[in-house]
Amino acid sequence: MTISVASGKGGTGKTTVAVGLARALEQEVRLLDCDVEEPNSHLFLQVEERKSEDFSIPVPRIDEDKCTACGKCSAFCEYGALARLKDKVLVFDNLCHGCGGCTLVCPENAIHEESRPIGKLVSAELPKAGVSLLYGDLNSGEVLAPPLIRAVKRRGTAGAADAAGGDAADDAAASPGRGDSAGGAAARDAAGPVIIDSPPGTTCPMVTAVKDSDFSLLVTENTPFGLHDLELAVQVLSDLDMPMGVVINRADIGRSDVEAFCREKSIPVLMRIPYSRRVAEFYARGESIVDADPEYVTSFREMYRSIESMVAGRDETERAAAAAKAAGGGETEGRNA
Amino acid sequence: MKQIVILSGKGGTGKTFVSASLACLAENAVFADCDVDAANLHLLLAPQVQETHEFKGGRIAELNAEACTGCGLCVEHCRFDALSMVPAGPDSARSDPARPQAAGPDLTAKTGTSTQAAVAAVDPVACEGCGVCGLVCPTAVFSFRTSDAGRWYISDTQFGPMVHAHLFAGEENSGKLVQQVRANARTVGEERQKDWVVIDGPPGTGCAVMSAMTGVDMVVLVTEPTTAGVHDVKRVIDVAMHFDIPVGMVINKSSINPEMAEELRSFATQKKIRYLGDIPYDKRIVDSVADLKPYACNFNDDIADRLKSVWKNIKEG
Repeated sequence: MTISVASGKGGTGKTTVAVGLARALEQEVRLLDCDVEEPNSHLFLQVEERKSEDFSIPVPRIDEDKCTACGKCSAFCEYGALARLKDKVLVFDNLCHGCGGCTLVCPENAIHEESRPIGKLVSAELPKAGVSLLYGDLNSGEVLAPPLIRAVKRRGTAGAADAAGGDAADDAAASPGRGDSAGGAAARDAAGPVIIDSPPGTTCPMVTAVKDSDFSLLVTENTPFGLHDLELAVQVLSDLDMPMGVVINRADIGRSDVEAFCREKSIPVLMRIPYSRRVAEFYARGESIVDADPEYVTSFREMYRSIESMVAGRDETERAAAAAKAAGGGETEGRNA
Repeated sequence: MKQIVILSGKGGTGKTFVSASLACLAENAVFADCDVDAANLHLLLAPQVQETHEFKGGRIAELNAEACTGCGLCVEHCRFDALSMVPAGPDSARSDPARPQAAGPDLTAKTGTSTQAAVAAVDPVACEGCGVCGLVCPTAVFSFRTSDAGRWYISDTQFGPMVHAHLFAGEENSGKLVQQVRANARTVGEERQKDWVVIDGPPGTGCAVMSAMTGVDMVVLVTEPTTAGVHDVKRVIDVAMHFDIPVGMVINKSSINPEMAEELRSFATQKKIRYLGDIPYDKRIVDSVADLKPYACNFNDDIADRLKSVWKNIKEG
């Protein structure tokens, strides 16, 4: 099962919840930190040894002997990464998205591609914590977060499919690049929990991170900012038809209508974390909430069980709907989350 | 006209709380909320919207499933995982062209199966509009539309004019919208002869942050003395120094970890960062935000004094 931990507003406690949940579960958990602009999960896991490799995207290189400066490549490029001068073409590496279109349109076969690193994929095994961590770390000055987020998810879930063995692994192998959703329910059960720490916000990076999860946990706080951004995040997840629940952090400070909003939208509030000076001090030092207060191990496990049963219930409903549809052949109304 | 941008790297350090106070302290300023993902400054400054404008985002591929032969060339060439094969028929995207097509690979369809009935489907979230699918498609089923990606506004607040925006869910190009907000804030500022543009920036260090900081006179960092806060603010400092922009630092919630606050201060000195002041963690601040009151001009106490001193330090440059 894949649970993504997200929030509209930053700083509400996504990483606290993602790491706390990962640490609390009895099973071995894969934690994928997809907040590639600011990956922080590793700061709370006392990582000692890590493996790091470059993550690259292809960029065009122009063979000036062959190039006739016809301008087809620069005309095709949507991102302004190629500029035609009188007798040659310039490449602006940091504008290139790596689509490869220029190599396809070049009539002189004068463009080939080279790899350009834009970030790192970092992994660490933490057997004591029961966590296997994978995160993306976008290089300073780079802008292309979504490809790195997709790479973290692909690596994380493809590995999970391997661990599950059988069909799921075959699927992942048959369609590299499409690991985001590999496996389905069978792999989900066999591969153990995957927890995704999402970037904040509600736009492309956040959607890229949470897409294809089985469940999203939205972490918020009881302030007007928290509520406003929660409303935006709920809208995004509803559009994705994603089942969701809410965790209210620092639930006893600030006063707002987060609870009322959740009731109105029928979104379960799965956990309330009161403000605690001790938890805040542990957080400040880079230690997890489950170290500050071991009671949270129980709370996180209970929350995980309720998520499991909600996801199972939804699978059941969908199977029933599919069966009914197959039997009746009638149109079903649009599903509203 | 001078421009300052308030940034933090990590979310939740108090950027907007500080921005709102600087907004009410700055005499003769225009404000720009460049956190276009999750804009909050308007909650504190209560703008009256005067003008609303559409924001056109990037291109997105659309396809006519009726004409798709299911050859799969587009899927093979798409580098953004934005295309997949789905079974043709009443459930496929063609049944309702008005709706965004099936988001994500359909779990019921096995990618690469050889059923002739398979057609390509676009995932509008993953699509980056590069146009390669249109290039390789032998039957020209693709067309491209510019997405209606958000809105931006010019508003009035009791402290001065404000330009702000909202990027719709799942959209990209936040950097481009940030540029538009900033460009319009500058225009408004020049028209109304303002002395300052005060920009509330987005979290992170990526595209939107770089758009928010290029060409400003000072990056004002609002950080907190926590492991994650320090880790993230250092990343923003790297980016700012990369662009050679002067940096100032405010330590918010300084009382939650005095040792780490001290480390931040000496780090600032060492990096030649202008230290602008610190603000202790205090329930009064939490309450002021709950009541939607910009702190510095609604209260007259030690915290308001600290905010005033931060603004004084910024003015002195």
